[in-house]
Amino acid sequence: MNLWPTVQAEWLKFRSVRSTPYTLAVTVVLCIGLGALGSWAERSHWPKASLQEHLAFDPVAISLLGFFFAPLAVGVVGVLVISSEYSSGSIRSTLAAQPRRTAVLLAKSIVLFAATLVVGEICSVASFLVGQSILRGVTPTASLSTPSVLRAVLLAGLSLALLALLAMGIATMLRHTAGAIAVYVSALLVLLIIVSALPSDWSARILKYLPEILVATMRSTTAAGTSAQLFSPWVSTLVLAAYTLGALILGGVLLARRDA
Amino acid sequence: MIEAKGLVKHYGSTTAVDDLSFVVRPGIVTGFLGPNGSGKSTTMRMMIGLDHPNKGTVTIDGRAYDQIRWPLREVGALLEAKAIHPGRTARNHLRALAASNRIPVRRVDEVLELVGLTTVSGKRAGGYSLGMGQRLGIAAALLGDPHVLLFDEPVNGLDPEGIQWVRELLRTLAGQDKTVFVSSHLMSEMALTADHVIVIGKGRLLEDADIATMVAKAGVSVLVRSPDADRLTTAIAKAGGTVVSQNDGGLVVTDLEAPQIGDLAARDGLRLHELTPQRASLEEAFMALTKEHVEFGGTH
Repeated sequence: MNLWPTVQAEWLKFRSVRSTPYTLAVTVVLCIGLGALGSWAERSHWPKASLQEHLAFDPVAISLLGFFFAPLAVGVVGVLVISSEYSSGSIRSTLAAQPRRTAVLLAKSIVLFAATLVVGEICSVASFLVGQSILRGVTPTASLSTPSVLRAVLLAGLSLALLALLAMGIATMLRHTAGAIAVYVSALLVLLIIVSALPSDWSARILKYLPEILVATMRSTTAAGTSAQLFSPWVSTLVLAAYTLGALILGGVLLARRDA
Repeated sequence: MIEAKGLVKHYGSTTAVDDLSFVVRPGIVTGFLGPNGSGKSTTMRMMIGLDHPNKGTVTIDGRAYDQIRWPLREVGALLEAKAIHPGRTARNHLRALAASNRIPVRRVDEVLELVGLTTVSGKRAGGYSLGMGQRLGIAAALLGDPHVLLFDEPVNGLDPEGIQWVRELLRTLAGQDKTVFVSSHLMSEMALTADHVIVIGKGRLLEDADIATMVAKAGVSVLVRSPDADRLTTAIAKAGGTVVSQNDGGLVVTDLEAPQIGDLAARDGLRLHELTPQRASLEEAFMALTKEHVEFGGTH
């Protein structure tokens, strides 16, 4: 079905509008910046901190502070990859050039996944290294040679790529930028707020399924060991991947069925 | 060759295209005419697989559009709306299209040159005028050097020079034995470029004929001026003619030829000041066709 030429075309389109490279560049800068800021604050606070605080200190988590923000940025990129085609009308050119619509969605997925995975890994590895170098000599630090730390840092990057695809899947269903961003942000944050407000025995059972909790588990070196209520980092990855795949399949079915 | 067979398309409760069948042949310019909202764009969207028909099929050289391996190399389409991201340059837009159909990049520069956009090809399309957008759409249609071309209202937004250029382009493409299918809501525009017209109204086929046949079918009328208009009207009516009086006192007669009217006047001793056979213009023929249809529809 001519997938490779379609991937080449989508890659060209992906990088030939300003919004995508700019948003991704801002993601990297803010991600590293927030991690550095958090690490710096910890470093300054350390001498005055209590024993409890010293014991609870997590050098990986603080350096990856930017990952609370990064999902929003990559989500916007994921949404725009398809919604801007509808707002501009270019979807008609795209589908005239490649009438096999599944191939179009597959090509977009490949391009978006590759780009956001690279950006995600740059964010996580750089944030981690910058954070540790700020903390070094004052607080305990972590090293990538520790398997659980390496896993947390790499899965943090992967989580961004999966979230970007999830956002694209939502946008494929809704075909509307603002609507898709609203649904994506709701799935991430609003759902978390609602579930947290439920009676505690309910929320304890549901929380581990929420995307925001899944990605937090993926990049955590401590959470899984301490709480039986959460999935392991790898299972969390699979659950998030399943959500993403589900959104893409549903989007793909609608894309194939609807008029453009 | 494009072949539509029993095409039907509903949008909710409205029927946009209603049992439409026709064939578009290569080597000529075929005009696709109808008032606004008559289903022209919908039909063209179905030709390139953007909209799915509820019934019927449309094929290009016997194949459905999504069965064509490299569609841009066989079918070029200019659609009504600007189909380009405003933040992308014309050149990158065309490069992406070229890449998707394995069309060499030099074709991008060739078509940009052909439509006269070379100097602005590095500018973002958001800043393009309607006319420039239209030229870019034509460039995209020509990119794969296809042998079937669909143009939806191609002269929209173009200046007189651009309109002239499009007319010549259509003739040239037809001259290269390509299938050229052009929609318009203006018969006068089609009269200048098309060899054959397919007329639709409310999604139904009203006419599928050569321009010449269409004019002949529209019929002739005779303009008569006479100081004895009243008596002449009675005489013509008796002989089976139909008379419509005009504001300036002239009579427009149909269903009788000029010689018969002259003979009638001579027989009854009536004076004639003018007796002019009139050929209906294409525009009038088109108006008559579609007006009739709208009246049958009964919603206007």
